[in-house]
Amino acid sequence: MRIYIVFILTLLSFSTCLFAQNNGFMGKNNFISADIRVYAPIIYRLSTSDVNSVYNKTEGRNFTPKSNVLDYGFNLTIGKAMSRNFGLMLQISSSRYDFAVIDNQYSLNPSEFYNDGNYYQVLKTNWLRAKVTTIMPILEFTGSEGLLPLGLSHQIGLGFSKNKLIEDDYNFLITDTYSQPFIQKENLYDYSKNGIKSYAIMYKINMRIPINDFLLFNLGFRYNINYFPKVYRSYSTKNYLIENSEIRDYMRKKEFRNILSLETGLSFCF
Amino acid sequence: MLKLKSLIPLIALILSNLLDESIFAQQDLNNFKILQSQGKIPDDFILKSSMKVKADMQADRENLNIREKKIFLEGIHYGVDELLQSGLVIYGDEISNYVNKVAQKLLEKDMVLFKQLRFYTIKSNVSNALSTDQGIVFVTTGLISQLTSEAQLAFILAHEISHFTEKHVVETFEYRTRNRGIDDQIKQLSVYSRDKEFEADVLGVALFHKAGYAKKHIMSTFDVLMYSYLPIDEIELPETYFNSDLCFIPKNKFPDKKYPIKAEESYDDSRSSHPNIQKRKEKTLETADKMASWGEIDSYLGESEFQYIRSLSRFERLRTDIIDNEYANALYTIFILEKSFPNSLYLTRMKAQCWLGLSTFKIGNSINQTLDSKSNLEGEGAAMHYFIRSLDEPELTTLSMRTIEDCRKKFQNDKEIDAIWQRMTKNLFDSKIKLNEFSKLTFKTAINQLTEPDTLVQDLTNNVVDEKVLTKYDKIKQKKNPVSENGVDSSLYYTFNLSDLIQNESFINRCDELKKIVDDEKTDKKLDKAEREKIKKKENKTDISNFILVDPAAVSYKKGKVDYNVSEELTEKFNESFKVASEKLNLKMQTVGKGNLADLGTAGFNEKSLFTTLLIQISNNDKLDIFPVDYSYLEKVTEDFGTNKLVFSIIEHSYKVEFSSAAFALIVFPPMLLGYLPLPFILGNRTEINLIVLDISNSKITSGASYNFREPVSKKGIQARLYDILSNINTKK
Repeated sequence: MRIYIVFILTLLSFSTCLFAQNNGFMGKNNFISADIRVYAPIIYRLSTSDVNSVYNKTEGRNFTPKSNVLDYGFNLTIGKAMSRNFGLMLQISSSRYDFAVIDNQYSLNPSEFYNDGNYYQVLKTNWLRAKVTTIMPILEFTGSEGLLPLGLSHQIGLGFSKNKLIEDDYNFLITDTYSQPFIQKENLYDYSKNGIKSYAIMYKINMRIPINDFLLFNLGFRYNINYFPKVYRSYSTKNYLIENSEIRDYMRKKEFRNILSLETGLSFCF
Repeated sequence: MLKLKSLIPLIALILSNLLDESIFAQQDLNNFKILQSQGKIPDDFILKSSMKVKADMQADRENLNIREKKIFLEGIHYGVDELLQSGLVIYGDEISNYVNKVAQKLLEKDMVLFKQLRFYTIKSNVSNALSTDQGIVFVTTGLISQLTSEAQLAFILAHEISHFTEKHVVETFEYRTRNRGIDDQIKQLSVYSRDKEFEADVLGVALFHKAGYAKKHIMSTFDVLMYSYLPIDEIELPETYFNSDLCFIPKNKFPDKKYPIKAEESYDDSRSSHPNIQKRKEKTLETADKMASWGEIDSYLGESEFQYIRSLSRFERLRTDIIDNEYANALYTIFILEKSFPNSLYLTRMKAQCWLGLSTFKIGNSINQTLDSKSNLEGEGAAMHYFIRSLDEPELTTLSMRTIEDCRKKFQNDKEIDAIWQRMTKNLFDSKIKLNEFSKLTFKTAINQLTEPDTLVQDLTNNVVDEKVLTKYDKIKQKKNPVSENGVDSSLYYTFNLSDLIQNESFINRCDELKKIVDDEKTDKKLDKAEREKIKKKENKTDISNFILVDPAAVSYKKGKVDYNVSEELTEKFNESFKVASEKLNLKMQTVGKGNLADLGTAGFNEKSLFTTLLIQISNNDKLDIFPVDYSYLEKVTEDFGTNKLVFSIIEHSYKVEFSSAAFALIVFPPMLLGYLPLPFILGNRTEINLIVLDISNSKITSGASYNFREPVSKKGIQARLYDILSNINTKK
């Protein structure tokens, strides 16, 4: 290589890089980010035994097949680089995902709902859709040579989430031992009690790449775990086909298997 | 109209005379000016390497496939371009022009070939010449400095031109490519290379013969190559060389024996690219003997021109020795050149620089770096090494101060020597010397004032007291107590060597000034850790509101090898990013680099060479304060640019996806492995920016930054990093 490359490297062995001041990105330390989050529920699909019995639309008794290929979400974050290597952020995120309620491991038991002594079984369902809203303070940090908000960083967050079943016209194809399968549309879930709390813990490895003097392109991999506290289950007769505690279990299962997501978006620096 | 027409030849004559005066006039060697490039900058220096590769790809290379051709062309063009931009190569200067003229004589009957060739000079003390596949012939100043005739140069050029005409560079590449992996490849390649050298010698003899040069110069050329590692001449260094009215050096500081020259012509060349000198001589003589009607020409261009060119190269040799901290060699060269140029300002400046350098290295306990080891001492030049090695710190520092003071007296108004003097007084202050123990008398005066001066003078100066006269007990007494009975301690001879200075007002004032600086430093040491840390951080700052960016460089690696094309593109991005970042910070940046040489021309090229040389000089010893060899030139350039801050910077980038072997343990739990998989891809980019700020005024690196980042390299990303680095370094906001 050029002869002086060696010289510079030699010289730098005694020069120091003691920068106290954080110049951020071109002198800007504050930023607002908008990101989309995409999950590929591969693990969920592999680990859910009856997932092929879940369909999308229903026309009469015909359920249109649909795979749960992607779930998605949206984050809005405001942040400040407190130093070259440390930043604080507050993030509000909303994500949606499909989940199934047919799974032998979990306990959706229609017989409890009908309670007429027959044995009922769910044959097919639509995908249920959940919406999760999370508010999360995040700590961002880098290695010794970081320059927040630019470049590679690590983020750790602990937040609070509210998980809701999105109201929709879901259809459940149910059968019992004696009669023909029928579609249950009513009294599926008590939407007035909708909203299951959970706590989210998150680690993200993120890269911000500059586009112009104000905008940064974000790309990161996020590892998110939601902890769902126990929900009391009533053992009296079920008024709805799906109880809150059951929804919690299904949501928990889905979210636990959606640990990894890809996030991408833009940050506006100011 | 007629009148005007008749005037044209006259005007042309006057103009050509003026042109001759300005361009081809020889310089006065007593006021030697370092060799710099002149005239229009050749395309070799300004065209992008990628463009050269692209152009040459069109040419037919029958034995190479496209991939091999690309590798070969990238190798030669990027490699040679690095050399051209290294700061060591010059064009259009007096030596290059002389070499060109000799080559022209050599190829007088083949002007087509001559026009394919370009001749440039490399400022290096290694005696060498080389030709490249693209038709560039390089000759080093070290080689020219060792020659004794123009004909020797002609033979060397004939050899190099034969390498070019026979396409030895591409043939060697081809051989290496085809024989990769064979047993003892280096040895085989060495045999192949030696064959090519023999071939070039044989063809060179033919070309040399055709040009009419005398046969006798062939063998003497090999002598030059054989002994070119020795100084430019073999002249005994007198033991009284350093003595003067004000300075006395005892003779026992000089060696009492001669050091033989060890080189043998029949050395083992089995792993060497060139055959040994004996074999070359035999082969060449055999060829020469077969040729009839040899010419008688020693020189076409005249002996005086050759002598002049050789002197230029010797002055340059001296400069290169100082850059490389080879002060003893430089002093020996000065000793030889002073005989021809006793009133040379340049030699005096360089002498002062040498002694300043020696004292700096001695005080810094690094003097061995500047001297040949005892086992390597050879020839007359060894005496200088021996002498300097024999001086302890007070002796050497005193002699340095003495010599620099003498240089200052010789050229009283010279700014450069004055600056050296200032630095030397600082060295004197930093050394173990106690000036209050120094005598106001010269050594001679002190001796003359003694009761029995004659005996003592003889004892001390000649060191020739017959040992047989002394009894065993006299000798023991002498060893135990060097103070003579007459009251003069012979081991403290150096304390008489600054007798004039310690009574000199400007010297006394300078000592007071230095004492104050030292006292201030002592006060600084009393600061607590936090305050010192704060100062340290501040010390990494420099006022770069106006700076010169010197040849920013970029290297991009692909699969562990340099990707030349991407590197070139990255260099442009880096250059542009510097411009944007400095504009945003309102810093005035002036760039001197390959990228804008077409605009800057030869003046810019020379400035770049000066800056690069300074960096080379400092990097040759990064622990000690170095005095810039081109001090006066840099002063002028500093004035022209309006700043003395140089910024050197390099960016390196590589992308490599590395999976941690430990991560494969995660295979037992596939979901975790899935989570790990994206990380190596995201972390594959590695970019490093290194930057230093060099202050010409004190030739010190005042700030530096080494900066890593992992995102993909982009123009804006580099800009942001540079913005941060420059902003943090700059003291003026």
